[in-house]
Amino acid sequence: MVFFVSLLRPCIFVLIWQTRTLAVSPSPGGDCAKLLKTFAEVVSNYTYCAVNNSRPFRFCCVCEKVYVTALNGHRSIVQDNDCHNDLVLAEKYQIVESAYDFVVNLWKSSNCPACFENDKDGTPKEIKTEITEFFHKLDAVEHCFYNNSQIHVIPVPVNHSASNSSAKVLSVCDSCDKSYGTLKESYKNIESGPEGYKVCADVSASMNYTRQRWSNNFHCVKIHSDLVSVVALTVFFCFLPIIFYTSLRLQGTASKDKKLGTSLRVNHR
Amino acid sequence: MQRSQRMKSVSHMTTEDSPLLSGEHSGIQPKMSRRRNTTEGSANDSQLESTNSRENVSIMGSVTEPGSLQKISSKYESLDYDTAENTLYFKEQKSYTPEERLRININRWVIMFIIGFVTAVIAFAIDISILLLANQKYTLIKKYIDRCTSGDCMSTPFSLWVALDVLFVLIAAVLVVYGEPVAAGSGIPQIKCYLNGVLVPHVVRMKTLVCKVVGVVFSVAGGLACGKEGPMIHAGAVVAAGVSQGRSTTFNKDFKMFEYFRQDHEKRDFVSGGAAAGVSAAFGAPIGGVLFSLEEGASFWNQSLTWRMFFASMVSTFTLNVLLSIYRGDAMDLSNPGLINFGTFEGQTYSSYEIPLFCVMAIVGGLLGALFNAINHHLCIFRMRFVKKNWVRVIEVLIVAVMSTTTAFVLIYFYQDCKPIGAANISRPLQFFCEDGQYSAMGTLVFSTPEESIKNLFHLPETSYHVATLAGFAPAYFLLATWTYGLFVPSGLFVPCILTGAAWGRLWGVALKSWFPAGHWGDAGSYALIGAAATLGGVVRMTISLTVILMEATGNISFGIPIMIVLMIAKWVGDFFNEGLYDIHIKLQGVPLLGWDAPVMAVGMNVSDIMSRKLVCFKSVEKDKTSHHNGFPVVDYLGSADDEDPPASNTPATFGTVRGLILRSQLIILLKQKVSACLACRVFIVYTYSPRVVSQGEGHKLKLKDFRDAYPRFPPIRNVSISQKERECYIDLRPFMNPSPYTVNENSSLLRVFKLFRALGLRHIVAVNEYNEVVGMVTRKDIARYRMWSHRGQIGLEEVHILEASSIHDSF
Repeated sequence: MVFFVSLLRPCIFVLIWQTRTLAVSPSPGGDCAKLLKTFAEVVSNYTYCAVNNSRPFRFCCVCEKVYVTALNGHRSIVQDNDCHNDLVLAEKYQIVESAYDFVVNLWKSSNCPACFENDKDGTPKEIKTEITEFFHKLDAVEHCFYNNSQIHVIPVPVNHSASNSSAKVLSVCDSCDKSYGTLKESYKNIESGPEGYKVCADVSASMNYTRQRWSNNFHCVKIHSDLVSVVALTVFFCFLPIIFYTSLRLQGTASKDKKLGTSLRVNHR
Repeated sequence: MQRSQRMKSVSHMTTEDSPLLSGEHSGIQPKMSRRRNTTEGSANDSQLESTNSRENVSIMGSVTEPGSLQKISSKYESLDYDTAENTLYFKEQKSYTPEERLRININRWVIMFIIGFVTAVIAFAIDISILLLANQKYTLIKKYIDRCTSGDCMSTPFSLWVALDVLFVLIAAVLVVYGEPVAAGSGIPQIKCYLNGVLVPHVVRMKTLVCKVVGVVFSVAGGLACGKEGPMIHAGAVVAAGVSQGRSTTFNKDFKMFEYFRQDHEKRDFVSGGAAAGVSAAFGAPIGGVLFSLEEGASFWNQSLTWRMFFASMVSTFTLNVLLSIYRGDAMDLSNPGLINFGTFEGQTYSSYEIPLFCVMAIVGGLLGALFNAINHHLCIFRMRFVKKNWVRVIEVLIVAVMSTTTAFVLIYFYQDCKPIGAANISRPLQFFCEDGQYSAMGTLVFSTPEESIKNLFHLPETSYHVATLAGFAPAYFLLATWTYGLFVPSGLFVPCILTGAAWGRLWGVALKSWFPAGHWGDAGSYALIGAAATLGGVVRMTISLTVILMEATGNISFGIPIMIVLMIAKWVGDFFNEGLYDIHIKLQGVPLLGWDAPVMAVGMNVSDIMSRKLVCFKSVEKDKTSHHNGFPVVDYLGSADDEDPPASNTPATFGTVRGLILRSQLIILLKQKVSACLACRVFIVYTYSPRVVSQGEGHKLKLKDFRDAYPRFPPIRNVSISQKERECYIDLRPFMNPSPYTVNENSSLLRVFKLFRALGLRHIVAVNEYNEVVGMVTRKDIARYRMWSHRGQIGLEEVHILEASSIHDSF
């Protein structure tokens, strides 16, 4: 019996303690609630923007403002000490932090910082000039694709009405070759920049997409395999070791015979 | 091979009798030589030849055949791990103040720190140079390839690639062949020998280090199927040997530091630390490094040394980490602990029911390893026989370089396994004949440095490689790796084995998935890892250290169990057919290496069976003379036995009671110092035939330091000029000899002596009879001639020959 009571006592205490804490702060204070709500809205905006702009991929350039507001929303929560304690630190399942991590990770994993001139603390300021130039060239290529073919997946603003004849499909490769070439050149410049393979995802995704259209839809890639000369060189190179080792072998055995001969002679004597 | 000679009665080769240092023969010949000449002249004696012809031929054959494993070369000398506790030593020990002893102990730690640091800096330099060179090369070739896929000029990038590779490899080959041939290969066999107690000539010299480091940069950047990890271990050992001595004999510069450590015993301790630091820098595996040194040099060990080695390893991996992090932009990122980086295996796991599958892979790996070793062994025999001239060696290297590049190009050319660029994150996608926006999967394997390829195989997603791509790449690279190892370039063995293994392991993983799509199989990258471990284990047959190295390189403890099981099985399977590649190369060189265990089947063999009886003994006060062994017992003669008067050949020769042991190097120094020190101070004393009358010669000014200064390159005896008059002088050896050398009774068993050698790191031991009279001398070579072999489930004892130095190919 005593044992039972002693077991019961802490339970009662816990119950009382819990109701008391619940009574004190059932929900965050007024300011904090507002901050939380703002943050929720900003994050959902950001998510919407991200998914919406994933094809054609313009996430970095379009969602930049939403991203900055999301950062600010989080910052205001963190900077307010009370709210930070209440909303973030008191929770085991820190949804605010997880959401913030999601926001930042998505941004960084898409290499979005590479599209912008950034502040010291990583806030994007404005789009780099080379990126804008790239998109100008991309527009030109898209125009050309559109004007010269009937296949167009992305609605492109049209200057003059297109005539959709099959003959023009064939001419896509010829007529767009130049603009496609300059686009590739521009991409290569961005790629060989100081950050190496960290290329802004807007750029790399649209470049990939354009390339795939160029090769898969229009079949413009011409491959010259140059089979004869490659095979000739290969055969030549393969003969080198054969000749080398055979000659070594022959020479080795010849000299051995000689040695053996002399030694036999000596022995005979 | 020649198992037929497994237990032949002791057939004396000519070399046993020829002095290690040929050259000046003094008037006094070793006393037994005349007797031996009569039995040995049989080779030229026609009568005996006719009766014994068959045996002679077989012996001759084994002598002239360079590729034999059943031999020991007499050119390798042992290291002296035993300190000679002579009078000088005690005098010096007494002179140390407690502060000095403390300083010596602290210096040990300081040296270990410097070793770790310098090794890491070298590793960093190698890594960055390879990275830059390879980047330049591949970028240039890629430019031409991109231009030529649409034009009609594919042969241009092909030729360019071949030309660049040949150029790079030419530099490496010339450095090694004309610079320092011992820098060829991975260096692990040589370090293994060193830690075992055998000095491979030139192995820990500055010049070797330079040739090795520069050479490995160019051989890896030149696209050979080799890695930079093994050479890194060698480099660490050389650094240790150099730093601990506080001077460079190559540059003839003495910093007057660390003079206390100028002896084999201390140097070996530091070299084991250096090897550990090298492993640690190569794989980011500090514990693996310590265990590597433990596994290879475990016969003499103590705890404080282990702790210091671990310190050196940690310093090495941390320094490399910091340097690489600084280079990659984020100074305190610390995510590059080693040269080879397997990447993190987080999320790539295996299930316990896959372990049996791993065992199957281990068997395959063991078989592949045995095949690798067999091919490489035969190739090495061929090289020893036929590739002898220096320029021929260079040409062979170049041909292998041409073929490596050709294979790479042809593989890319004919395997059109194209994947969209979007999916994977690869640094240098090669388009080749793929459509725009795609890359060639084969390109990620052969158009990059091997380290990157390994990472790709471990971590790229499931669908990145087509089965055919892997099936084409694995055998091609396997053959290239077999061909490359043993060439005259610095070439590590780890990376090619890992790469081959990763390729077929991944193939196995992909195949499993396509055969049984319903099963829950682990990541293809995990299978690649296990395949790599199996192949590596099958080739090098290392045990605990390899397990820990791989575990640390993956940074995943849960892979420990499968890796261990796989390595174990691969070793068993491989050992069924042949030995580990390092052991094969050690035996090809005829290094008298003492194995882990004594040859247990040599029961019944005693010291008296194996010792060499032809000794040169000195009396306590002795005349100058020259001879073969490196240690000379000092005896008191009992009456009649005198070196001018050889005993009759039938009676067992005894020399006198043991008084002490003096080393050849000590004698040489004594002889060298004579002009300045001895004549003046009467160390050379006129011969009076009665040792008692001889005055002690207290006036000599020789100190232990004089012996130490000459270390490690003692001048050969022929450089010491001794006038005829001085030959008649006598020298008092008592202050210099080791008065308490290890002796062993002539009736002790071979096994016991083996254990003594192994545990004490001995170079020679004096065999005595029951009256404590010298009857013979057992050296390391006498013991190493008896060893166990095991082949296809049978084991036996074999006795191997000791060959003259000249008849052996002079490098690994």
